[in-house]
Amino acid sequence: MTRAAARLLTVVALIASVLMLPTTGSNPSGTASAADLGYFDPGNIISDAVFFDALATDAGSVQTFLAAKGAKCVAGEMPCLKDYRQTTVDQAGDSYCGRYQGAANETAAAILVKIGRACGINPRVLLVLLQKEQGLITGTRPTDRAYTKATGFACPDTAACNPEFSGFVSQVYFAARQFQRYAAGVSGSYRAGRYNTVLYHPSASCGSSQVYLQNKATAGLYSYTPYQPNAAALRAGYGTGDSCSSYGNRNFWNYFTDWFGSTQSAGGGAIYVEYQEWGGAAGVLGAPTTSFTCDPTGNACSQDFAAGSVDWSSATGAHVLTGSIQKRWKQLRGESGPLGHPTMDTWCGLSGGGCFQTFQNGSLYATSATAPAYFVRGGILESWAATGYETGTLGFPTSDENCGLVREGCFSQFQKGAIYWTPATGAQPVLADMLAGWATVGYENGLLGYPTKAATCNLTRSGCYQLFQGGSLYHSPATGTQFIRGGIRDHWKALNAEKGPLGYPTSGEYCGLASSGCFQLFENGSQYYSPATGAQAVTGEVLASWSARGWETGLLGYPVNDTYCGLVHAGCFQRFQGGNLYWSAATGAHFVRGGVFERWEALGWEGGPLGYPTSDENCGLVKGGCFETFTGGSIYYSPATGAHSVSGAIKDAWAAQGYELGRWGYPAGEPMTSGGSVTQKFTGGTATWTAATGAVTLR
Amino acid sequence: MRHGRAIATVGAMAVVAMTAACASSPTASGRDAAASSAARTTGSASSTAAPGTYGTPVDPSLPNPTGVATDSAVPSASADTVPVVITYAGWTDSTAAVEVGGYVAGVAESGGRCTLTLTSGSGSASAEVPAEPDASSTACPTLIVAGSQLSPGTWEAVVSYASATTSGKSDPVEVVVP
Repeated sequence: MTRAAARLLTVVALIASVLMLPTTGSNPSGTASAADLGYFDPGNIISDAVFFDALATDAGSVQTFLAAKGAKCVAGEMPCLKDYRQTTVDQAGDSYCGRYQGAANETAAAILVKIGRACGINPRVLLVLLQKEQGLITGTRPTDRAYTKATGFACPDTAACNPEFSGFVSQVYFAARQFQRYAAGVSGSYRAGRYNTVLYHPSASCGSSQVYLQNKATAGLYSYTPYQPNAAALRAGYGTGDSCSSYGNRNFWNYFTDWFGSTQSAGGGAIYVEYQEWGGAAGVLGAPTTSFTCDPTGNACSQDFAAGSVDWSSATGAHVLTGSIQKRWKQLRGESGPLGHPTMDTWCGLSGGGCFQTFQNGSLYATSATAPAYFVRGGILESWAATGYETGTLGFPTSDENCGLVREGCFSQFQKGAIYWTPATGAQPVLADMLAGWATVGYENGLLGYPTKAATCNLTRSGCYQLFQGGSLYHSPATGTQFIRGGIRDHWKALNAEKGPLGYPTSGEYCGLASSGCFQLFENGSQYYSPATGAQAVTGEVLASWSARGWETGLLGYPVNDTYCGLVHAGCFQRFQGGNLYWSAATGAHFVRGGVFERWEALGWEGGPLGYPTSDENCGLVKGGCFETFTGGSIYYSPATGAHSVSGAIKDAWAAQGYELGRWGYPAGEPMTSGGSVTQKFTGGTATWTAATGAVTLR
Repeated sequence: MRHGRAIATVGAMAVVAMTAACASSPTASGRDAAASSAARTTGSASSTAAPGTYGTPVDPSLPNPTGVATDSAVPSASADTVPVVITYAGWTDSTAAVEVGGYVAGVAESGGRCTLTLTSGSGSASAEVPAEPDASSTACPTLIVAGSQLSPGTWEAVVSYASATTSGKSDPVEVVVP
């Protein structure tokens, strides 16, 4: 109800304002713009979100507001609202309003804010109600009646009316409570969500229209004040329309809009609907702990509740955030941080009770509603998705995305690995086994650089490999994870990699050998590399023999081909820079080189009459001589005679007279068979073996 | 569901725009002219503006309005008969009932009763609730007649009010029972 007395008050206010206002162009009234009633919507005078925004303001702000709007107010029968104080007593709560805890000497501002909170009504609505009904906000010289009927609401028969809870506080409390009763459907003559007949004026002859009441707040306003403004009332601003005009709901809209901005909030409304869908205060979100707040554009709003929050933007709609995901999102500066607005509600139905939520620029994942939530986005998120998200090979993330790595790299850690991303390589998952191997070479800072592909795991004996910029990692359960690269990798692949004779690598590549050499160990041997010789595989007994002879620093130097097995008697051989190693089971491994080798080669190697070597080359003989023994004889060398084989009876006879130290000296030619005899030149003569006698003579 | 809600919001906005246009049939310039006229006669704001956003009034320096028209007080003493207004009446699927609301205009009192009477041919059904004094009227909160009492067809609804001091009856409203 409003009072004709308000007219008098406004006349006084007009006089006051005329006296106070400057007359120049700086007059604020010269630029002031009242709300355009063209925007008044009889079906939606105010949105539920705004009307029931209980935490919209605080006592300090309300006091400031009262002081500003009531700046010209002087006390009448009662003090101005800005100066009003009342000692209040407790009022027990019910299902419509919470308990009001009394206090001594409370300001009107404090009472309004406390009632707003207790009854879930926007205190700004209560301010407008006080103005609409009694002009208490802007008027002056308030009367006693203006306070006793401050909201025009009688202490209702239907509620226990505490006689000690009287006066101004009672008026505001029971008016606020009445709006909650309307909303609950237990009172009121209008119904939201359907067409209602709304008269323009108490006189039925002024007509009515069918109005679809869009929300409970608007239905409540009509229950409180049953008429809608007609066109004349709307044309008149705050002024008088015609004899069929009514003003209560128009003035409510005018005051609210001029004082507090639009009665609508797309974001607040969407948040309100979302909150109701989640069960309101009785749902998982619990009671609001803040008002909904919007950015200056009105395109983004959010509101906090006891157990979560709702975020809205015009682009993404309203979505609920709860638990650790909400906490993390806020730590990451919410919608203004890297994630942006949520694009779905927090959802905790992942395996093991995990939670996730998508946002404009990424997602948050947590293993439970209370476990830490981590931020995954972009290429790393896509890569993780390709692995099957949290049920895939990587499991849940255990870190946010970390950037700042070399070459603009970023990574996220997961329960069972990590994903690394760079502009050049994209995002690639690295599982725990590979990660361990990669760590040994310094991750992306080491010689391998970043991964360029995901691991492939179809290798023999449960092996996997993964390509990196600078090489590969190979893993098998038996050998762990090892890197391999460059010439050694190329040669290994040429040898059929892990399925070839070497098997999986069992070490990384070690460099720093003589002549800039490197080597790497494998299950069944090693590879040795030097710039001059390339990478060569050394295996088995040959490897053992070579190592016994000092590896590449021994007289053999680096291998120049791979160990080859398949000689007669299952023998093996390998060429080295300094000679050749030949092995058979019966003879062991021995090296052959230089002139001795050439002679042996000329005689058909191990397949010739000499067979496998049974010793290494022995030097230090007289006249710079050397010799080597074989299963079928020996080869003796001296610079003067070259290398010649000696065997059989001639060799026995030569040995009997003291080898090269005897008068025969060194063999100077190869044995020659002619008829029933064999002859061989020595430096001391020609030895002849006669088959008929079996005797050897020297001439 | 979310898409549905978004569409519903857009729909609601369309309704806002349409109803606002209906409520203010004059053109914008006509409205401005009326506002200017009001400003000249009342000394109030000189122009109007869109409402802006909630929480941020367009012009916080706006001076207090003057010459504000307000409604007359509700008479405390009622006449012998008072008008009863039906605000809504119709079949409600969710409750499978006819639901009717209304108020008694021009009186705010307690102790009265509201009665809904539905008639169709020779059939009739009724419901009664205590009336409730409201801020500026006496409410007849939701009156419900269960569908089980009603045959399909068109029924005539009338709400009547009676108290120790006065009585009244609404104009009839048609209600269709599916």
